[in-house]
Amino acid sequence: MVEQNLQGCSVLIVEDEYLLADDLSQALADAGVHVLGPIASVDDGMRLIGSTASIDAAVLDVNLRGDMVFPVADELRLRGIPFAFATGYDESAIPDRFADAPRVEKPFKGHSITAVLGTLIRSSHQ
Amino acid sequence: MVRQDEPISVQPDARMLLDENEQLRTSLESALEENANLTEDRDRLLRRVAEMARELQTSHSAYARERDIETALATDDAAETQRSQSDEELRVAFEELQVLTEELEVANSSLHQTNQQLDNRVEERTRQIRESNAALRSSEASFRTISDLVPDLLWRADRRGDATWFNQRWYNLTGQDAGDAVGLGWLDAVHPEDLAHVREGWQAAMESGQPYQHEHRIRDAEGNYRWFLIRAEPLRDSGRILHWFAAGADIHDQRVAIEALEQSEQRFRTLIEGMPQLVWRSENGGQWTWSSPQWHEYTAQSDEQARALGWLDALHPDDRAAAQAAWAVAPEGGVLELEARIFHAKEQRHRHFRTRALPVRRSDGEIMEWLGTSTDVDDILQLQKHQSVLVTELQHRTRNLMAVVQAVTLRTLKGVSNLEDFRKCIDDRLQALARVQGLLSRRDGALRVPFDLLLREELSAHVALDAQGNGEQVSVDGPRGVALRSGIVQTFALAIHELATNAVKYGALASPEGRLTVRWGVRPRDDRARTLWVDWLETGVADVPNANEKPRGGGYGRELLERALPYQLGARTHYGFEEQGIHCTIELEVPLDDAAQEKANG
Repeated sequence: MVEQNLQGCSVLIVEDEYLLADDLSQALADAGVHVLGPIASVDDGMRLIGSTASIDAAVLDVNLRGDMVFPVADELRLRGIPFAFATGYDESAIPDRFADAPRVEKPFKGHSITAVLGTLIRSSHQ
Repeated sequence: MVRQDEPISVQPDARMLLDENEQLRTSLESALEENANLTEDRDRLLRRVAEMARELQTSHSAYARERDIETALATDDAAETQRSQSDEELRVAFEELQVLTEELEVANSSLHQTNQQLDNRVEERTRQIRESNAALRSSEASFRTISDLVPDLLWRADRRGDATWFNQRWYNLTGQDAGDAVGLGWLDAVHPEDLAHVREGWQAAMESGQPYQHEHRIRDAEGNYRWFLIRAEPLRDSGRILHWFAAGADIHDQRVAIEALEQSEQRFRTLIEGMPQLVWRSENGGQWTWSSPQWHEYTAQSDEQARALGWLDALHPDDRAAAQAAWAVAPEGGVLELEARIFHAKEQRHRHFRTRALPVRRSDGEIMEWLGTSTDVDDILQLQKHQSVLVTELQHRTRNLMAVVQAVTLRTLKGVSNLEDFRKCIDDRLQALARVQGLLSRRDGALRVPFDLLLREELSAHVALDAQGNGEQVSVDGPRGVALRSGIVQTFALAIHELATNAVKYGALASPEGRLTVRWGVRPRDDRARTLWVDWLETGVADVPNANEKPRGGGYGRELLERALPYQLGARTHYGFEEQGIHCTIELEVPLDDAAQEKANG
């Protein structure tokens, strides 16, 4: 199932595990998404956000080689860009300030991510 | 068994009677003596009267003779004068005799009277003595009744300390008879451990005349010992000791209870002073009355300083209000519970403590005091935090691993042409994943996995290796113990696995002529990290594929090396075919310190 409204959207992928990042990129590309990244570290994530004019949404892995992705999430929130956590973490590992961000638990099916992203982007455009 | 042969005491009344009897006897003797004197006087007078009578007689005879002569002869004036003189003497003598006789009569009468009085008094005294003896016998009986009635042991000793009498209780308790107990025989019933002490004390009391008081054990008839409080005091008569009286009260149950209490207190104290918790006692409102030595040692506060609300000073300033608030509500809840930081003098920092106290209540339910403990939970809190990090990390790893398995499976599916190939291929890769999980979990503590170990694990899955890691067609050369960051071990291991698998399937290890040489080393990079370089060289491979040819293993291994390692590990890699086989180089960042431990999420 392909989310029609992801067509042409720019989605940032932050995921340090190459195979997962690659698979997710593939899945999103198949859905017509313009994939930003994937990137594997907080620093690279911050740089990419700073240098990219238009980001519609983001999928964030929580733990990047021991660093937490939360600075990236804060930066996205500052810019009003919606995001979802793709994580193996239970709820308690994620700070309360991100309680409203949707989570997709690993291992995930590609279309569960596209569905979540579709909802995020729709609601941010309203 | 009781010796009845001696009176209990000399009654003062009786002695008074005896004294009085003695006086009576003396006065009787003196009366008799007086009587004798009087009799003597009387006899003397009688003798004189008789003598005078004889003289008178003689005088009369002479007179008659003379008168006869005178009559015959002539009247003589001189003779007349002599006769009238004799008459006068006789008259005086008679008068004297008369007086004496009267005196004698008076004396006799007085003597008789005195005798009568004496008889009466002796009779009276005899009656009194009889009555007194009867009374004495009755009081003796009373005394015996009382002495057998009291619960105490009683005995009497002479002034040298030798026992002469015991009450029935003594005999009943000890099973001794009078023959056993008298003298110092009673000491036989004293506990052997107390004996020397008792003997010494008894002796000292007898010598000094000071009251004796000792607690010691006495053996009962069954051979069990009971504790008694023994007191002895002398009975004196004008300073002289007549007897000693001793009384023994059974204090066994009391003493045993006290000993048990002391032991229980001793145990309690040992327990309190041995436990790691800080223990204290308090009145309502946190008014401490006592704190254990641990508190003093921990906080460097003295017992005095910690008393009342002094202990608050040892709490973290931010926790003091909460502590007082907890005390305010404690009586209502019947328990005090508090988490507060207490200053550790030795470390010069505050540590987290869990404090708990329960009230000790009187029988009417009123709170008498509180007994509390403060338990150091600082380490536990740290461990809990650490554990929580570990659990989170484990979640992350597991989920990630599942995701990696999913990704590997999908890639394997893409690279094979039939299910049989898939089975072999996926089996190999899952085993490689399992091996690397094993490596990661086998780490001692949080020590890092060294590269040589990772290489050996992957190669030995395919070929036999010796202790140095060399095999028939394999030679390795590089320093041992170059530690890898845990986060890169899985992907790195999978990449090495793919290289080895390809070598076995298509490369140096597919034919006897082939040879694999792996060399590695480290070189400095910056002040935070070093670079590990790995050189994987296959030689003697006859069938080297063309560079443009489609990868034989489906390209998964090559993808890992050329894309995953750079993406994930920041590695620089080169993968190429040379004349005699594959030549692959990898450079990646490793920590400076091989031995250093790493954070759980490193």
